[in-house]
Amino acid sequence: MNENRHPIDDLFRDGLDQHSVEPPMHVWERIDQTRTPVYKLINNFKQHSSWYLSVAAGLVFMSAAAIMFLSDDADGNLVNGEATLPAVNQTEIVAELPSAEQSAPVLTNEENLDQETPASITNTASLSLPPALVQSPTQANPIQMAPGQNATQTEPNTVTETPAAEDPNTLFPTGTSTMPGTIIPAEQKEAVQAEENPVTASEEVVVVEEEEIAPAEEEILASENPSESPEKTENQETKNMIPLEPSPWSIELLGSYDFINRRMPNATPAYAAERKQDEKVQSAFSLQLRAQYKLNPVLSLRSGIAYSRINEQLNHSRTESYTEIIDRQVTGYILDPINGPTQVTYTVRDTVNHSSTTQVNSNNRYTFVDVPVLLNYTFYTSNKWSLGVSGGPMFNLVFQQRGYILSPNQGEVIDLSTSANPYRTYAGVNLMLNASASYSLNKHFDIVFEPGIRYGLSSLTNAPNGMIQKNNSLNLFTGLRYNF
Amino acid sequence: MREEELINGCVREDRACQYALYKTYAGKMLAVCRRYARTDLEAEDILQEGFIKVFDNVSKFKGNGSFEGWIRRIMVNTALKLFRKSSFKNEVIGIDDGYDMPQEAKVLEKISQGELMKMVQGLPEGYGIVFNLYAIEGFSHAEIAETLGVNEGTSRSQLAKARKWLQKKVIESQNIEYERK
Repeated sequence: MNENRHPIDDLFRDGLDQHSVEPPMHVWERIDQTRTPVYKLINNFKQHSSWYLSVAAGLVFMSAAAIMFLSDDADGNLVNGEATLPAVNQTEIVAELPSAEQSAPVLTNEENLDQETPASITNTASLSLPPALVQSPTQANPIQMAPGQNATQTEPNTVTETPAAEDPNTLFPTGTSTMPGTIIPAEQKEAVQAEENPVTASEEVVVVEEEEIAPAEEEILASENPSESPEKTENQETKNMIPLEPSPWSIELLGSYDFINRRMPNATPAYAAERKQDEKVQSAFSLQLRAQYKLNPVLSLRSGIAYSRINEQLNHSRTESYTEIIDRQVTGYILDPINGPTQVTYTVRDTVNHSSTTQVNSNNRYTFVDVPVLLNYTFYTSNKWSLGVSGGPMFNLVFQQRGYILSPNQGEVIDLSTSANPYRTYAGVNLMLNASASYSLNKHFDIVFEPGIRYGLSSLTNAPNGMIQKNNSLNLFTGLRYNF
Repeated sequence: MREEELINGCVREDRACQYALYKTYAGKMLAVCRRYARTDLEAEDILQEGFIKVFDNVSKFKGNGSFEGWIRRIMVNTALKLFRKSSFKNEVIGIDDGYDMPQEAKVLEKISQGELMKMVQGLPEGYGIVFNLYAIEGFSHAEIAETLGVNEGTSRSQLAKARKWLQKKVIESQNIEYERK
């Protein structure tokens, strides 16, 4: 405790120790709000947001690595998207007949199909039909095949093109309207089974969706109507073609937690150290909405709009000292032994050393809006994964600042809302270089991971100010891609 | 409601007890906060943050010392968090304590709490913190040095300057009083 009490100490302690000031009601209201469970949860997340985001990013990348590893292991027999299905049984596939009187071709598939996954028949199965039954894709079948699809894949509408379809007696020696392995709509399955050999139907009928069958039905009808011209049939065929070539366009929405590195190449070590000490990045993030256009299977262009923000805390204190000399006239009385109490006036000189400290606490905010123009090169593709690198310039459109920064003239603080603001309103050009990985969720959606760096080429500050500042950042983009 | 009941209620996060605790101590604590803050708004922020800490940590109060002292210490620590070590320059200088106190003690007694508070709030930041901690909170120079991360010489120096500064203000206040009379 205090060893030397001073009258001034006593004066203020006695006067202020029990001093009380009634606080305004809103203080309690603000405190009370913080006692709710929701607020506590949010506050807890805010306090540990960096940690949570780091963990989330780590989990995403670990999951991605695990999925990639397992995917490669499970799909080890997939090469460039061409599937080799496991051998099960020899299966016959027959086009569905619109009625019992109509004959249908019998197509014998030489390949083996997994009967428990009928969807694979139209999507991934590689089916080989006997030459007599199948029109060569190069001759008459104009269907465009998607990458990874086998050229001999059977489509429902190709069945009616086979010459054999014109000779139903050859195809149906038993005279029945449905053969084992017939492709029929699901709702007709029971009726067909009632008419046919129940054992054969139940074991080998392959059920497909209605919409996959519909084109075939139309074409069977068209082919059996001799009054229609060949041109009309061809038009109908063209109309029924399934566009298997994917669109080259896609859009991407990505978000990233950024790690910022500031470069000030011409700053004095003292100034750089002071800014490093006083200015701390609290959080930084980026959002990008981009369109992607595939130039060819390995190259694509990406461009769009990018929004980035850096939230920074400035804590700066400055101490100034000066000495003040004050002369003052004091009137008092002295006890004169002869004249008794006598009034006298004398001068007292006070020397006061003043020292004041200015504290500046500010939440600085830097906002960037950029247009990235990136070229992406894909060097690895499997049926699910795609890996590549992308790079290119980012052209800044808007650069806004709010808060305070330290002036190069040490000891001063610059309010960024004033004309003394050294920052430019245009942040120039940055370079981006990313590693790019995407995982296909389905036909349209991919998950995209893009760790990368952004390198500042231009100074964020005006040249006359004499201070050059460039920002670099490490970005961890994650998002979704929609393929048209 | 007894203090022990208040504390137990706050441990259970009983809103009524929390409000009762706040009503009991908020006035005194706001006065404490104002001595460290530069503005009333800043003082209210310190008070708010301090009471949140009190409610979050009330279960850690073991009954060693007074509860009011414990709350007061939390408020002071919360206020000190606002100020950085760099507010103080480590310095050891010769201290001249020869600045005479006015002898008219009766006059000093007439200075109101409001005026005393204004004087304390008017102290330059570095002086003010040390003076508040030493003269009013009862910290030793060693404790101040540890709390603020400065050396004891700096604490003594700042205290001496604060005393001089306050003496001047008190004398000026006296002169004004004389002139009024």
